[in-house]
Amino acid sequence: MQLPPRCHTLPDSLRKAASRALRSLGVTRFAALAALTLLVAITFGFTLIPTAALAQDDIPTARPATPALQPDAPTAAPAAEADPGAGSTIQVTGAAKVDIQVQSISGTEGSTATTTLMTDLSRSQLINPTTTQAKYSATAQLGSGGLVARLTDTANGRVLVNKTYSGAWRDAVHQFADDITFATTGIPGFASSKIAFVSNSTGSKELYIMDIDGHNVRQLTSDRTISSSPAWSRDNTMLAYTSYKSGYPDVYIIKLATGQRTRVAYFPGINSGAAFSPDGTRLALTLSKDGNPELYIMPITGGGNNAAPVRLTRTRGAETSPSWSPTGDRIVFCSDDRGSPQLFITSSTPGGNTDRLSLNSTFTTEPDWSPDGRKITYTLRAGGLFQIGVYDMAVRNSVQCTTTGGQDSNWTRDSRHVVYTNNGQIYLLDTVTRQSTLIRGDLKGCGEVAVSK
Amino acid sequence: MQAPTIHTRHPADAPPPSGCAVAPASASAHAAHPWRVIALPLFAILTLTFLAACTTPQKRPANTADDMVVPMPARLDINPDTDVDYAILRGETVYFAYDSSIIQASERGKLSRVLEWMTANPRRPLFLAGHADKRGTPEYNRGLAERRAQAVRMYLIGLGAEGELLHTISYGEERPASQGDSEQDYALNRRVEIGVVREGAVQRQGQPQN
Repeated sequence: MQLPPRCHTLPDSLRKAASRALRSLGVTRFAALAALTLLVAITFGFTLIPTAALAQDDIPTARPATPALQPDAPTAAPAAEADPGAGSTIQVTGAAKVDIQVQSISGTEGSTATTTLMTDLSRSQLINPTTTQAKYSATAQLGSGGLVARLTDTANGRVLVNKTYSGAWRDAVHQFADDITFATTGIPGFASSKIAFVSNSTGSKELYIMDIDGHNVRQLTSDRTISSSPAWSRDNTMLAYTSYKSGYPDVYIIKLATGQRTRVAYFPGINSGAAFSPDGTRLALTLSKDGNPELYIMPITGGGNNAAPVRLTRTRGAETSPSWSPTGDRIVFCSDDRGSPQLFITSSTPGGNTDRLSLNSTFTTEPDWSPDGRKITYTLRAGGLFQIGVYDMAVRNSVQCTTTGGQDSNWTRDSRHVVYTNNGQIYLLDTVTRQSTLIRGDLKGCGEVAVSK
Repeated sequence: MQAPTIHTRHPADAPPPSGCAVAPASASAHAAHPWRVIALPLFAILTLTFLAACTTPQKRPANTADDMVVPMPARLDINPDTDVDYAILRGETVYFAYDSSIIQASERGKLSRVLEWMTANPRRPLFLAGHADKRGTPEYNRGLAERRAQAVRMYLIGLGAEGELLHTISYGEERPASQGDSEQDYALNRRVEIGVVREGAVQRQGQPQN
């Protein structure tokens, strides 16, 4: 390690004065020399120690720019001309939306379905749905066989989407919207995403899910205890969450198709904050079975004798809220080992380096790594209020995206929007324009949102 | 007397410096007194060590240091919601400063009284229930409240209590003692309540339901 040549010499006059003073006190030459050496050594030591500490603390956490992180991920190409997914990376700015003519959907629910489709496309901030002639044309019929849908390029007649979506018409329309978004912009749409959240509107914290447009609210638990901290599996078939159903804070996994629940972590102390690994086989979570709350990795099948949780951190503080990088090799989490809660990144295998993120607040919690691997959203405290922040890994810059409060932010599939809560309400935030939209007005006491990917 | 030599500059064409070097402190001048040669660096090292120890920021009380944690007892086969009585030692509830798990001087007398109760009631397991005020986010508060409970546990162990009888549970911000949003309400919510496992509860059959 190189150090700046930051050293000190004592001016001659000062040295002589000190020497005289010491002699007059009857101090020997040896003692004077020792004291002086010490003085210099201490000064020297103080210059060195903080420099070394700083150098270690502030190692930039971002690996060199991240395209390599997820080679298969579609790059942002909101692209009128470019072939979808064909490749060049264009920064998403909110400008240059793709015009798409949405033809009225036929069928009994057709009119609502048309509105839903247009709302979905607008919400992406990438598409401008219109009823007049445009570059692309979306047509669909809603019937007993489902939603028969098609997207065409009007210039050359090329068909970009041609599918029959079965199931409930709302789900079908949302999936069509996502296919349109991806086909015309190369960016994954999030109209078909669902939000898992907790609400205490019944008097105790229960788990719910709803569509990202606020429809189809469904209560998943009725345990009259504390349910908390839901997290989706990457295939969106399961939720991991914390429940005090046994009286102790334990981690459960609920299979959404069947409603079947399994208790997977129930060690002494807290078992909480579980997050599925991208490959779906492991959970990162907080356990305090060995004393302090620390991060561990364990298989989703639970920790038996052959699959004891592997410990990732070892500090005097509490480590909470792990979130995996999309490739699964790293984990961002919150730790208050240095006094106030701050965010750190470590390897998802034991023994890796841990780096602190330099952010715009000394109180930062609840990180969530974006699906494209490039950003981390988190809750920060500024002026006594909690706000939503976004950290950009490539430029190592953090911005505050809300001004009226917010917490528990969670990315949508496009790595541009986040869902968050404020005063018990759930909002969708466009992190580019920093506009927030209330998702549904009649919900109360909501928090701890998680968006399916 | 010669001041220690310190390199302040490096020639531009020299290899990058590996740091500033302090020249040996005129050791040759004292070659006739070997003890001085040894004593000087020794004295310097000891003093530096002492100073370093004094200036290292102590962000955590030593009693929560990782390597001092006394192993957590196995979970009791009870339901902490129904089988723990928090009324008996209600007066000994320990309160904390904002965002802190340090046991303040004002709270230590309570824990001495808890130890007295434990001595008078041997073999009765206690639950140390950690709580946080609602500022902060739920997961962070769950961790913070657990650390408060563990700080109380380690303090009691330090007083001589048996670790095997001291269970922790964290409720985070979920169960405020006072519902309001004032500073006074928050102060009442940052606490560790000390509960006594009801007599006979541990013998109850059956695991908590899945």
